[in-house]
Amino acid sequence: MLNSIEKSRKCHGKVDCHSTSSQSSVTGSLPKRRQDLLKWNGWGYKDTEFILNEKLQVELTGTRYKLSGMVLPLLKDWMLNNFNVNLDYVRPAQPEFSAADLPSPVINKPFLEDLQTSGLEHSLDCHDRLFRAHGHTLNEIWALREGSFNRIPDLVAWPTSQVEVMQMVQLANKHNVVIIPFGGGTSVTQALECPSTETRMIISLDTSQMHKILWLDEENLTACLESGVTGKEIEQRLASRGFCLGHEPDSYEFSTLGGWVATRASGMKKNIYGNIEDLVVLVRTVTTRGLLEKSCNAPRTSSGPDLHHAILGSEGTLGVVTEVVVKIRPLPECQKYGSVVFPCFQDGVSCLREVARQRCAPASIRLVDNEQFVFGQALKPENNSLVQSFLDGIKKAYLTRWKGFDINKMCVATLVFEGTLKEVEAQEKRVYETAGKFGGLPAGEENGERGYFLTYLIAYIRDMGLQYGIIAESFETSIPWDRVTDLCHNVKDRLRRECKAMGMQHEPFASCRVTQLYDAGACVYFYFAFCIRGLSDPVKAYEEIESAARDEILACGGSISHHHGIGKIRKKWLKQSISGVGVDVLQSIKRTLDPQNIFGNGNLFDAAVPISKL
Amino acid sequence: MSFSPKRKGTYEEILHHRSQQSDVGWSLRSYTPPQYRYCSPRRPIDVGTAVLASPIIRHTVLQLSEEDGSSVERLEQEAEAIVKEMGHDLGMGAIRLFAFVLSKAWRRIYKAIYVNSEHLTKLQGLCKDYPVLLLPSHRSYMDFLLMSYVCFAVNLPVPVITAGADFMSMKGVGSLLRKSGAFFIRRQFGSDKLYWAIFTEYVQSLVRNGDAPVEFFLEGTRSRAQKSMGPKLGCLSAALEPYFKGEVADIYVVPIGISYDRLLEETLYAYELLGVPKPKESTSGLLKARHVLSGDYGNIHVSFSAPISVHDYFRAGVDRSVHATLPRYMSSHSVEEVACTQSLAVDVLLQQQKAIVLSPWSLVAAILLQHSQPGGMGVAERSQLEGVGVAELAEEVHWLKLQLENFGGRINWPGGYTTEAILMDTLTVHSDLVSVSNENRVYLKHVDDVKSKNAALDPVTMATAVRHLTLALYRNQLLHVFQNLGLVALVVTGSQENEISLEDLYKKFMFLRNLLCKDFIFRPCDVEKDFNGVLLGMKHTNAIVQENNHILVAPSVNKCTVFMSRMFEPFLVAYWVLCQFLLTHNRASWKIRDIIEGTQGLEAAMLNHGMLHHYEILSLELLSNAVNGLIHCGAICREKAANGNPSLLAKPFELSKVATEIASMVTVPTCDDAAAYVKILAVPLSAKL
Repeated sequence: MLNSIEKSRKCHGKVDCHSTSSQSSVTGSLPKRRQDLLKWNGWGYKDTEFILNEKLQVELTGTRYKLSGMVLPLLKDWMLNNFNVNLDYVRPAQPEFSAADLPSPVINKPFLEDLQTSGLEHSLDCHDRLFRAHGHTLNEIWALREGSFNRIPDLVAWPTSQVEVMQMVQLANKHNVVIIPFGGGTSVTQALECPSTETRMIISLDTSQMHKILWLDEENLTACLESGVTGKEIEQRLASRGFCLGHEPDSYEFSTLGGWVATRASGMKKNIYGNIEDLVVLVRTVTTRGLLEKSCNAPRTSSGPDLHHAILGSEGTLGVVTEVVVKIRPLPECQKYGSVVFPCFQDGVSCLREVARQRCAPASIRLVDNEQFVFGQALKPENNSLVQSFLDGIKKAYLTRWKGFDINKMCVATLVFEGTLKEVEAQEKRVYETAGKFGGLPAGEENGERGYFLTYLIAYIRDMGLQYGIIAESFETSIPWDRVTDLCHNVKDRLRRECKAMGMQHEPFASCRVTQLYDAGACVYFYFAFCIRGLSDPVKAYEEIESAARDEILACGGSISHHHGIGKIRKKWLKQSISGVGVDVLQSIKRTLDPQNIFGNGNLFDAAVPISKL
Repeated sequence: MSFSPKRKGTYEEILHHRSQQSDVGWSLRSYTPPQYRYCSPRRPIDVGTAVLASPIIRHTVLQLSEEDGSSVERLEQEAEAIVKEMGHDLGMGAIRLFAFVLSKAWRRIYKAIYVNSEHLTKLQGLCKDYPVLLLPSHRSYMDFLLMSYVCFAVNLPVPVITAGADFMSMKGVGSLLRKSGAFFIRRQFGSDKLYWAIFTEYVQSLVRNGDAPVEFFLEGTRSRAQKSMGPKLGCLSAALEPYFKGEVADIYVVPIGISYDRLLEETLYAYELLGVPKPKESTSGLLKARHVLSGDYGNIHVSFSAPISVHDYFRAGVDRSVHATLPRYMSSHSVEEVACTQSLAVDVLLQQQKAIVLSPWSLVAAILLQHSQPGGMGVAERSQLEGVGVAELAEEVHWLKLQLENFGGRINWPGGYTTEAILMDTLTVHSDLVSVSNENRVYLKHVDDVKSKNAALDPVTMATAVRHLTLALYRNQLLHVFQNLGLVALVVTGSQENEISLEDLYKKFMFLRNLLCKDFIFRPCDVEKDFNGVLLGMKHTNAIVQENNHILVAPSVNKCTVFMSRMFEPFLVAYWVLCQFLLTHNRASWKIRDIIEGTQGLEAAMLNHGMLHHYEILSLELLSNAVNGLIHCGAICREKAANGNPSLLAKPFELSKVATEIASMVTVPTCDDAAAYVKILAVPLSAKL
């Protein structure tokens, strides 16, 4: 047993989905001209995409990921079977926009003059502006591939420090110019979208050049980071000094610390490290009224309502998060994947509930439903060894024949263990024992690991889907334990039903996973995809279906969002979620911090402030 | 000649026409009904265990123990006993046995059992995706055996059925019924919180896990009068709660209309309606009923309506998220949920009615009953003495059938036969009630004298009443088709003016709808729609003549309106007598039973004196509906007496207004009869008080 742990022992920083070879070539920070490194109209790195190779097999290009350069022989058939697609039917993305295709910038001349005098770095380049006009919400990607934008930022600015941000905000406030803070650009709530009714000049304040670790305090295990630093960069730099932050949202390659604070992000390993609100010791936010900050790095204070919580989840409507003091941890000695198969989803949920009850969850534990389990199997790379496929055959036969598992019902929980060797060993024992009580059987590290790859690759897969007329999106919620299973069943049913009502001939792919455990409930994450052939307005259809699904979530007792946030797509449910009084409280905070609505991205609610003239 | 072919339109015969001819083979055939996708299979006994272990029962036990200090153990034992008393024991063994035995028995007495197939495929699919509630009309004991039989025959999952606990005590039968899927609910358990909690959890456990479709009767009990009764919401609310709480994605509700050409219980019902005590359900009683197992009972039609998605139905009216902040075991319905449940219940009843396939005998009954001579005997009497010619009757039947079809009724009318042939067929089925002489005249058969416990009712009056009511049962089956038409006809034929404005007509129509709301199923919010709809239909068929915004009375008093108004006249007459009874007896408070029995006595006296001639008004159900209708109209008030018992207060002003309004539409004894009144009134009252 110990031996196997030894073998799987991995040094942090080399784990996760990235192959080690490519990491040296990437400094981790995002360049100002992001479109040189990243796709302008899709997810992730330019060099990485899923393609159909000449043998008509799906292949992942590039070298960045563990699966890069590999063929996934089962994926194409999975697509064909699940979506009724035809590989002859392709919807290629439109060619890159030229300046003429994009709205010309609204220029506030006095502001621009002041900005130029100040020497703050900025750009009016149309591609710089376009890159910051969107996040990765489905309709935004659709607009890039097949549509157009009514409104994009008029100017992009790259402050390099808190002082420069303050200068920037002062200028904007003086000239009544809108600022939309922009971090990793991975929002999936249309939070980065420019309000189409905005007539003032809009500045996209790109924080990517604020990526320094300002200090690191080994005694108190804290570090002060600038807000524009990406998750991957944080981990790399902390690892070199023997530490980690441990915050790994699915987007962590690109998303930034400031964005996490602004959206109340949640990381995969929150069971050990906590969510962003648990990690934050001190937040500095530049508002139009000045700097909002606390006076000390004390671990907890009682000093009236915690103002951090006004900023956490404010989605860029109150100011720019510039610096954050976070808790850090020594790098774990050992990290190990694992997985457990369950006869059915309900058994898996019962097991997770028990794990939460005993508070013995490992760093990460996720339960995927049968649909996603099958999908995960389709992502198996080409087996180079016959022995391997022979073993797979045995495993399947063992499960289905001897253990009576139904291949159409079984599901899998994927696990990440972290800690000292002893801790990991103890955790494994306890989790597998608990799982056994619910009919769960350990299913190996590889299945676990593949589950986590899927997370990082799913957005790349979506881009390939779009190519063949498959629309895909994800949404999430959190819900008390007793309602988890019903929620999953009901929302999936609602998705299938709404698709049918829209006249779709083929059932959509509706799948979910339980991704986070809490004492009182869990986070549930849905994947939803369908083939758009025959639909006149696929994006509208998608939005209506997702809206119906959200209604169903709320009806089942789920929340409006666990970590994606409200942005613009969920504004209509905010009042229902936090009451009218609640919205008034947020309104009054907004009024106090930003009377002119400089931070006018329009997220959360429509700011009840007079929209002044240009 | 065969009136019962294998297939009629969308209806398929399942009793005689089967691919597998032997009953043994058929009952033992491979039966693989669809199963709910999230069902975790369990034995019937596990349902009880799950109920006892459920949070709501644990919580209720603790709460009750805190409230009245009884020990938790005792309450748990009580709960266990209740679950044991309640529990179904559905097993394929009993179903197959029933399938075999019933096939044998029914083949002897029924010509055919027809089931409509148009929604079956959809329903079979739905059973896989959602829990299903089967809601049949309830007009005979046979209903639930029949439903299970039909489900077995058409490859639907055999339902679990809510049954009244009165069956339970029948030796042997109780356990047999349990095995065929019945679970038993006490008729009254008012404020027994533990019982209520167990009952709701039992139903909900079945719905949540989708073990089997849950079947219950919205009307709560058999409709002895053979017309739909107002819905009882207890079971439906309980069954829908899992949807409101998001425990299931949807529930499909299937209204089912069941009709019998001839009821096994026809005379029994007439007796019961008159207040002759109902024999307690006993096995020996059932055995005595064995003589019914010979003879011709015609056809049965089982009509499945389109399944209703509760989710779609409630989508606009209900916000389920209000339950998000309470633990799930806490039972609560929002105001909107209660209102929508009520509305759904009414819609289901209306759908049942729409689905029901009427027998030609209903037409015959309606005609025999209500063609009364002015001031004299009805055809019922005439047909006992001198009979009615078959040809005359056939002509009438044909006319009424056309009216029925024009106003949306469905009737079992085999194509390719003359009306006379169909009439003769139905007369044969009902040879217990009518005979056909060699001269082709139809006679009503004599009924033996009947003793009532109400001393005011003499045996001869009762015998006549039984004869009338037996016919009325079948006539009642078609009333729903004409209910709006009948009300308009009452106003039109009763009018003394040359013309009626639509506005006045609508007001009176509304008045009648309110008054008769317990006797007929109306959707209160549809009053205007129904009014306009029926006017359109009546204009179309020349039943009324409208000029500008007025109905011309003279041309609108015609065969149709007269027939229809007379069909509904007995109801109003009964209501009128009830008003008179209350107006002439000055009491501070009433018990509902006293009002009903007193009125029944008064009616009997008036019938004896020839002042009235509708014997069916003696029906206790009708009088009970009348009291409740008058409560609804505000002419009677519900109160709580000092001792906490419910009592009723008559409101003379409102009562006389109602009485006057009724008298303006139908013939009632006039003021000249006042003297006779007092004399008559003395009879029941001295007997009573």
